[in-house]
Amino acid sequence: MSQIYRLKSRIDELIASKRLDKFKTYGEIGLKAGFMISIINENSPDDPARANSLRAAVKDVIGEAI
Amino acid sequence: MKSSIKYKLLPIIIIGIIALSTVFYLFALQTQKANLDKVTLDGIQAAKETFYNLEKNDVKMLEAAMTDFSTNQEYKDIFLENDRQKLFDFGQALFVEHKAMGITHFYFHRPDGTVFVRLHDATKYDDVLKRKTFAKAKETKSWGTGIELGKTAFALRAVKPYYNGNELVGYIEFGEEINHFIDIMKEETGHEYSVVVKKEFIDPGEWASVTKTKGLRNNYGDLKNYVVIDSTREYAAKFNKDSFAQQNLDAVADKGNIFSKFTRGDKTYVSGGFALYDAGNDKVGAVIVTEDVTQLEKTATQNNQNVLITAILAALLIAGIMSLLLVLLIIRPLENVVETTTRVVGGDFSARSNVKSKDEIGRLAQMIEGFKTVLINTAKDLEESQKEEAREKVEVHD
Repeated sequence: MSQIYRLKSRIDELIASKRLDKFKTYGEIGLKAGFMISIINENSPDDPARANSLRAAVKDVIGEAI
Repeated sequence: MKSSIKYKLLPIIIIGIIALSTVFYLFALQTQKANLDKVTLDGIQAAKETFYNLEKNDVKMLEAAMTDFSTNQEYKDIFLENDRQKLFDFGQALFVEHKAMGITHFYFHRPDGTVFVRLHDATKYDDVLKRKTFAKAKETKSWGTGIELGKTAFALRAVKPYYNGNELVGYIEFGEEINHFIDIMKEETGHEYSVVVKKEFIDPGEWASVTKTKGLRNNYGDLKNYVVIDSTREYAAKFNKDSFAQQNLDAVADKGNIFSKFTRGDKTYVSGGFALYDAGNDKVGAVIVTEDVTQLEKTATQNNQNVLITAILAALLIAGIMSLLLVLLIIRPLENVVETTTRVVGGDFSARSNVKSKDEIGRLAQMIEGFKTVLINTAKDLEESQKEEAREKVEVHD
């Protein structure tokens, strides 16, 4: 399981716990990170730069560090 | 969201409301001033018309009395006897009767212009009066009438050749004070009036004597070049000082003009005047009209406030409608496009914008729809490619 997929799983947990609109939150994070969250799967290759962008975007949109 | 167009446009709308209301208010103020000036000027012009109508009527009255008198042979005979005292005594009853009607001056002139007798003053005679009314009557052998100064007073005078048969034996002259003109005008309009005459027409010594006799303050020195010879207002000196200045009198127009606006106590007045001409058509002074415009101004101020309130309400209404249209036509469609785009990026490929308009925002929504299709296809290709890659990895591993 790739690191970026683990990050996506963590985002899903936050969305569930905060009862956020999944697609809207994915979209806001994706627009900030620069790629689509929905297409990340177990096989998605690791990319440290993407992972960092994703963390920063989540912090901005949800306000939580992952 | 403070970066919204709504918040950017709000200051513009507020400034617009203030500017619009200010323009309305200034316009209303300007209109108020123009109306006040017009009403005042109308009052001055009406006063002028009344003044000269009174003059005309009184000239007719004097002419009627003189025409009637000139047919009285008894007076003519005594006049021809050249007995001044006899004529004075004989005429007193008639003079008293005339005086009761306002005819205060009654002269018999010789053909050369010397005064034979004044029925109103036995002490003065044999003087030569160089008056325009007399000169006109002498020159035309007909009526000479008009307002003319004596030594101390402005009077309406009428002079008529005095014939015995076809022979000119002298002239008769009737005169009346014109003080009652402005009293009548005040009764009709409620305004205050003053008659101001150039000093060159007033003898200061005579004026001092007249004012003393009447128990009035000698006002000869109040103004540099003019003397207020009559006023409807008692103790008018301070009031007149507010009403007009020397330069107003110098520049007074024939048709009338406004001088100044001033307040005394809780009253507001506007003053103005019109030029006063004598029988020789010389400008000898002015008639000052002072109108109490307190009520008029109060009403105008009330109207102004109403205009201001209406302007603010109208501006608020317009601003409200503009804001509503802004929200309905621009902000909501834009928010809808942003929401749809966000959801598509978030993987909701069923999200559709409900913007149907053909304007710029509608075109943006269409563009997002096209972008969505491209994105869906790209995502599918990517997913297929990832699956293929995964399968190949499994096969290699096996």
